[in-house]
Amino acid sequence: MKNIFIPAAFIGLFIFTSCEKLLFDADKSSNDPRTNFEYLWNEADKKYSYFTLKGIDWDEVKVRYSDSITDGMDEQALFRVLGNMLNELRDDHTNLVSPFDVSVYNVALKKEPNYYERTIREHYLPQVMHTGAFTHNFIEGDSIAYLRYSSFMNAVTKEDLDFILSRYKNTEGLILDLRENGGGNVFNIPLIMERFTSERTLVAYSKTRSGPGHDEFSAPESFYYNAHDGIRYDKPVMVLTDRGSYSATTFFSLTTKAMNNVTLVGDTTGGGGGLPNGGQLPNGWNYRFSITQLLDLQGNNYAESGVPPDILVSFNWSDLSRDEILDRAIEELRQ
Amino acid sequence: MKIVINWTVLILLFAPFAQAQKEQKNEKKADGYSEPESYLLLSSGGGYYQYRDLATSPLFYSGPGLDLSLAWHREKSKGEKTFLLATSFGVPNAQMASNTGFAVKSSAMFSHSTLSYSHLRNISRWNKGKWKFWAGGNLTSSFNLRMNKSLGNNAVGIEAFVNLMASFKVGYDLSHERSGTRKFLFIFDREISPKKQFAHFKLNAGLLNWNYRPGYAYKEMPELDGTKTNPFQFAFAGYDWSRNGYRLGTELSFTKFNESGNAVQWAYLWDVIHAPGRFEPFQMAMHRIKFTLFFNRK
Repeated sequence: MKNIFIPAAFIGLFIFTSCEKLLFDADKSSNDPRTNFEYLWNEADKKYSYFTLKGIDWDEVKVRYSDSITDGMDEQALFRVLGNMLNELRDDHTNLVSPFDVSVYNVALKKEPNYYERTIREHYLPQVMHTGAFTHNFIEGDSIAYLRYSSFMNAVTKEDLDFILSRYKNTEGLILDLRENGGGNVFNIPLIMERFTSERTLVAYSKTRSGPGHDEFSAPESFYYNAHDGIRYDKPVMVLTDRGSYSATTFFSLTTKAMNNVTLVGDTTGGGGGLPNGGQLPNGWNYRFSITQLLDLQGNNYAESGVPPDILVSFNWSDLSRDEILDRAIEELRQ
Repeated sequence: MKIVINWTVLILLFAPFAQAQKEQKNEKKADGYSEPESYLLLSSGGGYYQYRDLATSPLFYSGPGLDLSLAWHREKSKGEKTFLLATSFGVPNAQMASNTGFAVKSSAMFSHSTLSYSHLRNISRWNKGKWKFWAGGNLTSSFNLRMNKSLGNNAVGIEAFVNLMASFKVGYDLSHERSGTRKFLFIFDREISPKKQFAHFKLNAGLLNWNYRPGYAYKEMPELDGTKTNPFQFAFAGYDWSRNGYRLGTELSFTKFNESGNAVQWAYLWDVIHAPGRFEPFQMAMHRIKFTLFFNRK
C-alpha cells in the first residue's frame, strides 16, 4: 500500500495540473495582422466614448482599413494601418505604442499656436522665480501676478501655492498661463482651483462608457471643488489657453465656466475631455483611447473638441515683441 | 435575493463545523481523548505564476515568484483546523507569439496575498491501516495587486477572490516504528531509526466563488470631490462583486517530525482561479514548492 501512495499522488497532481490548459481559454497571443486588426477595432468599438458625438462611422472605418491588411505585411506596415485607423477618432488620447513608434493624432498641429515663451521672457518678465512647477513674477509693476504652469504632469504642492499666493496677495489680479500645457494628472486641478473659490462648487460632470452600444453611458458623476482651508486668492483670475492646452488643461478650463472670478482668455483649448484607458494587443503592442465624456453644468458636451475662451484673442506672429493674449488679460484685470 | 442565497449557503455549509466543535468539546470531557497538538507554521518557497486579465490584455503574464506564509495549525484525532496568512510576489513577463521583427518586452509586478481558514474532520470509518481520510471546508480570501506601466491609466490592477471550498485530504503514515536496515537503491543497506513521517494529498474545490472585478470600462471616472476625493474610490470605481467562476487547488506534502514534536514539511501546491466577473475574465494559476517549519506550541 505504501508503495502506491506516492505514484498515485503524482498521477493525481499531473491530471489536475494538466487540467489547467483545459480550464483556461486558448492562448490568444498572435502576430497575425488580421487578428490584431480585429482585436483593436473591437476594443475601440466596445469602449471608445465619442463615436456619436464626432459622427464617426466605425463600421465604415473597418471596411476601409480592412482592405489594407494582408497576410504577409510587415510590422511597420501593420503599425501604419492600425495607427491611421485610430487617428480616425481624431483624439490625442488615442495612441498605438509599438517598440519602434507611437501613433499620435497631433491635435495641436491642426491650428495655429498662440504662445511664444521668448516674447514673455524678453519683453514682459526678464526675471522670474521658479517655485516647484511654477515660474512667476509681478507684471505691470506690482499690480498683477503672472504664473506659468507648463504641464499638469508636474506636481503641485501646498507649500508652493502658499508661497506664491502669499507673495501676490496684494495684487489686483492673477494671470495663470496654461497655453501649450498638454495635460497630466487630473488631481493637480483641484489643488490649484480650490485656492480660487470660497465655497464648495459643482463644476462639471463625467460619464463613462457602460455597454456595447456607442451611446451607452453610466449616469453622470459630479466634479466638485472645495474651498481650500488656508491661503486663498479671491481677486480676479485670467487663465490663458490655446489649442495646445489639452486633456487635464481642457478639464481645468471647462470648470472655469462654473467660477465667477475666473475668465478664460486666448484660443479654444485642444480638447481631450475623455479619460483614456489602456490595453494591449495580441502582439504585445499597447493602445489607449478615451472611455469617458466630460460635460459642463448644463450638460453640454463640447470639451472633446475644445473649451472656447470667454475672450477670444490670437497671438500676432508678425510682431514677436508683444503677446496679445497676455496684453488682453492685463487689460481686463486693470478695468 | 442573491445576497440572501449566498448567506444561506454559507451558514448551511459552516453549521456542521460549529456543531462539530461543540461535539468535540463534549467528547473531550466524556472520553478525554489525547491532547490536541498545536503548531505555528513558518513557510517559504518559490514557484511559477501565470495570469491573464482579459480586461486589459489577451496575453498571459508568467514567471517565477517567491512565497512567504505564516499559519496556525491544530490537530486532533477527530480533525484539524488551520489559519493561514500567505503572500507571494514576482515579476512576470508577457508571453508572446514568436516574432521575427522588433521584439516586444512587457513585464509587470505581481503580488498575491491570501487569508484562509480550513477545517477538516477525520472520516474514521474510511481509515484503514496506514491510510487516513479527512473532509471539510475551506474559506479563502485572496487579493492580487498588479502593476504594469505599459497599460497607462490601467497600470494598477487589482482582483479579490473569496472562495468557500470543499476540501478532501488523504494521508499515508510513512513512520518507522523500529530500528533496522533497509535497501537503498536496491543495493546498499541503510540503517533506519524510528521516525514519525507522513505523506498527504489535499484537494480544494470551490463551491461558492466570489470575485471583485472592474466594470464595463476598466477605468471608470467616479465623482471627484476636489482634493478630498477618496483615492481608493477613484482607483476602483466601477468594480463590483460577482459570484461566478471557479477555484481549484491541490497540495502534495511530506511531513517529518523529530523527537521534540517539531516538524519540517516539503510541499508542492497547485492553485487555479477563473474569475469571469461581470464582463471580462481574469485567470491565474500558481505552481509552488513550499518548505515549512512546524513549531509545536505545547
